[in-house]
Amino acid sequence: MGIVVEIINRTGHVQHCQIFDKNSITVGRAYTNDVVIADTYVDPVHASISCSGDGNRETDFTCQDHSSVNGIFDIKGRKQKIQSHWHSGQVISLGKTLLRITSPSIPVPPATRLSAWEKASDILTQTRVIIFVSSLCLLLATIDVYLSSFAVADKASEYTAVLYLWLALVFYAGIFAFLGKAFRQDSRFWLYYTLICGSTILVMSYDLLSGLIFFNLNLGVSSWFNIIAYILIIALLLNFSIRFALSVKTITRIAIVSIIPSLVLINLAIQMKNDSEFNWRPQYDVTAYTQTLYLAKPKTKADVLTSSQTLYKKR
Amino acid sequence: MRVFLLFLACIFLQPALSNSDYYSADTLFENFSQSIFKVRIVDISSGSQSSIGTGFLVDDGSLLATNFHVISSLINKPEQYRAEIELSGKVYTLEVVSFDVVHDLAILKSSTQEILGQPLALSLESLNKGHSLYSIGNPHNIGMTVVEGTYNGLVEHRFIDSIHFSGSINSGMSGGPTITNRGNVIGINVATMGDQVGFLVPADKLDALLSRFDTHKNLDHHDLISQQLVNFSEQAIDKLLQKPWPSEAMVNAKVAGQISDSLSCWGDSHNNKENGLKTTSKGCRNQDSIYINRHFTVGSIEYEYRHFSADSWNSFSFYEYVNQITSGATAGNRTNKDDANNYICQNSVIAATEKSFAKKMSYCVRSYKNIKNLYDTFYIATSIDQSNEAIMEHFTLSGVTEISAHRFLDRFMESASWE
Repeated sequence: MGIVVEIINRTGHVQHCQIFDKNSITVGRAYTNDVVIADTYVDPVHASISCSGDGNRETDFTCQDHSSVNGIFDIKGRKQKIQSHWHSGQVISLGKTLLRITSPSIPVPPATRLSAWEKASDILTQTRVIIFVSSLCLLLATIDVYLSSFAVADKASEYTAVLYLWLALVFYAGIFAFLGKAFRQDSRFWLYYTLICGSTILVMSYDLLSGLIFFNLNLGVSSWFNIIAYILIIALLLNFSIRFALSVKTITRIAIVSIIPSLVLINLAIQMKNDSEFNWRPQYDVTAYTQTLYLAKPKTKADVLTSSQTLYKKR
Repeated sequence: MRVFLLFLACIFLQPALSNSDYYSADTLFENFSQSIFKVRIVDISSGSQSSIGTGFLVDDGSLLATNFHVISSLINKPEQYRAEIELSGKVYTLEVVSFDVVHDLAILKSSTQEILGQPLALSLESLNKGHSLYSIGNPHNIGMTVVEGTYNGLVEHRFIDSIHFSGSINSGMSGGPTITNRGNVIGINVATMGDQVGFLVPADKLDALLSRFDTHKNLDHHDLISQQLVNFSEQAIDKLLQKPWPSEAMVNAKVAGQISDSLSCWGDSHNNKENGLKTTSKGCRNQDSIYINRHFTVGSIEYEYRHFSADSWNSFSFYEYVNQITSGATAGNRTNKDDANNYICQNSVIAATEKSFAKKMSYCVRSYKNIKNLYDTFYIATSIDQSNEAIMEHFTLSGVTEISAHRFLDRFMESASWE
């Protein structure tokens, strides 16, 4: 015996829960009600809910509409009669509010074990981790600007690029925090912030080192290596984003979460397509460094001349 | 008295050279206008002209000479275009008899094989600079026009002989004759650089084509193009390689100077005091460009050296900058996807030799789709043995054979060294 009323949001998350030890309660905006709903579309005394039996049968709960302005609907938006019958766990819609009615004797499932990801998120949101990834990210960006700004007269404006990068990271984390807040009342801003900083560190380190990798392994400009490396980095980014943003349930949410990584992927796909088309510019490798950074054994002039002859045979 | 006798002798021996037989612009046009035609290239499906040029009768009067570039669409898309001329109200369709793609010449004949009029005579004599010439053609399709100008000898810095005509040649006059005041064709209008700088194909090239076109009879047009380009490129590269290359100083390095008279050379240097970067460049290229079609030219040859130094920079930044500067180089000729395949590149690091420094090299080769045995090649290398100083060396050869390109590459790879 008794009634449990949960106010839930559209994704089913419980916002508020009340347990009553009696068999009949009233619902409405007035403070005299048992369940008070702050919703301007709900009448002062909108409805009363009564329970007969132990809550296991189809028609255990009866809902009486007190001539309300907007009426009572079920979860699919179907309008109910003055008196409607409900069973435990069903959702009633009043105004813009959703109520789930349950019997207190219905068993609830055991607790879900925290996943490794959830544990990782605790580590990633520690202050020292946040400070570490932020500093590393800004340091790499500064090194990048320092190395490429020797020929530039106005160095100050080059360094503001570092600030813009940081603002972009905050903005990206903000978008995910906003989505999280909207869908599951959990913004997790600092988690997304450390994740995007981590991804940026990966991309920047690859950019700084790729020249040396190409140079030492003798890989071409548009080689498979470059493509695979970027696909891996982006896949990692995508995976993190999806896992942490929401409890993924529907394809629309995956789409929302993956917008930013897929923009990068689309760009990569376009690049790969253009590589196979006619290109009037020779796709030669521009990387050149001092001999001290060179690991592989250099070729002799005669070897190079001989191997160059194979180029004429290819189409 | 002696001069007078000589004068008399001239009158008796060569009556054609009497005073009254020296042409002026008006008499010349009156005499020869029946032998010079507007050549229309007609798009068969629409029946309208798609381009125009000029042509004139040669040989026995059954052959019409014009530029290859006037009729190139007939070679590339014979099913889409036809060439025609109009003679006293009657339209004659023309067929391509032969051509010389290197000198931009073509000879055509009427499909009815008939003699169309009086041929023009070719002049193989040499003239003095300043000699008056009359160029005839149909500029911009506004009607047959005579343009007076002067002979200025052969154009310098070219592999392909070309007469410099100081007079306005405009599009549509291509393929028309330029005639001396004695009434002989000295050259065929071919190109202009604007501002009264015009170019003519010397008449001896047309004479040579007329004497050997019979041997082209059984050749496919693309094979003939290939054969002519192969001959040209082999001769040009032979000319570049026959002598040892002169060595010139560039900062603290030695590089190849002007390796042939057929190339023109340039140089430049920048010293940026603010950031400590010094750049010096030197390069040579030819002015030749062989027209195959609107989107496709071959025959360019160029090479360049650049010296970079920045004492105050760290090594990583210095090479980052060199990479950035050398990333934009490309071949100088025009192509598109219908005529050429993509470049295929090979990247290598080459150990130092006795004659040159250790370098990182990229060599790229692109073959043509319709022309056999010819390639565009692209070479770029950067020295890697110094920490704050580097030399970039680069060449492109367009329309060369594998053997010629290979020989040039062999020589060029050791053309620069530290002093």
